[in-house]
Amino acid sequence: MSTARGPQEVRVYTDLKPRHYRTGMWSHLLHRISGVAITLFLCLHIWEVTSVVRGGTAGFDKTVAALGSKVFVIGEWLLFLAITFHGINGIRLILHDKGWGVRQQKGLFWIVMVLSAGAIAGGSYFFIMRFVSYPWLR
Amino acid sequence: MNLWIWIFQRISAVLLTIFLVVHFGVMHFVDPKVELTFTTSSLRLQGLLYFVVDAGLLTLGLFHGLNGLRNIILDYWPRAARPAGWILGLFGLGATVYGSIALFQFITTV
Repeated sequence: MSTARGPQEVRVYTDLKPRHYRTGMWSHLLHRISGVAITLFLCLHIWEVTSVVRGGTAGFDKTVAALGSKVFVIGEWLLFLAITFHGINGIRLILHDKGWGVRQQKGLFWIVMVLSAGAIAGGSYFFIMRFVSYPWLR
Repeated sequence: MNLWIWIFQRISAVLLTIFLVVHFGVMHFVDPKVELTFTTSSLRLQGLLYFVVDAGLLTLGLFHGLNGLRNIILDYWPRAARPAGWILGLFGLGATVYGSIALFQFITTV
């Protein structure tokens, strides 16, 4: 094994040991996982919307109708969780980058979690309504 | 160059938060009962605000998300970051163009 690769292997190794994680590492991990998930969704969402290029207006309507089922309400709710946390935690990260509140990072992470939970609790009403009385049209 | 990418990751983050509140809010909390069809979507997109928001989400979202993937590669496999950056960049550019074509169909097709 070459010495040049040493530090990075150590890093991957510690990343794989959740027992050793503290608040900052959980925040880092949650931010990354939610970020990757949102990016994946964005690509699928672009594929969905660009169905209008491939099949015209009828193609778009067909695609959207196919994706409009109860299961996808759960998917949209999971997306809601991801963007809420990623967005609110992202504000904290930018403030830290500006040098603000770095010493209070642990407490601020929990404030982020409480704010996210609050927003999620409020927004979930709409998803529950749509899921229960699908498709919740007039 | 990397510094500018870093700065733009933050700028796009702030803009995306604002745009997403509008986009996700309208879709799920303001008009959750509107049936999604080409007609209802294009009516929405004829409004300048909603068009700017969606176009912004397409371009900035792709940049922010794909650059985020690049950051992860940079952390775990730095030697692959350069070619990966090119691949992700070209993918992002292609997806932006492809998405823009779709977006313009919504405002030009009556």
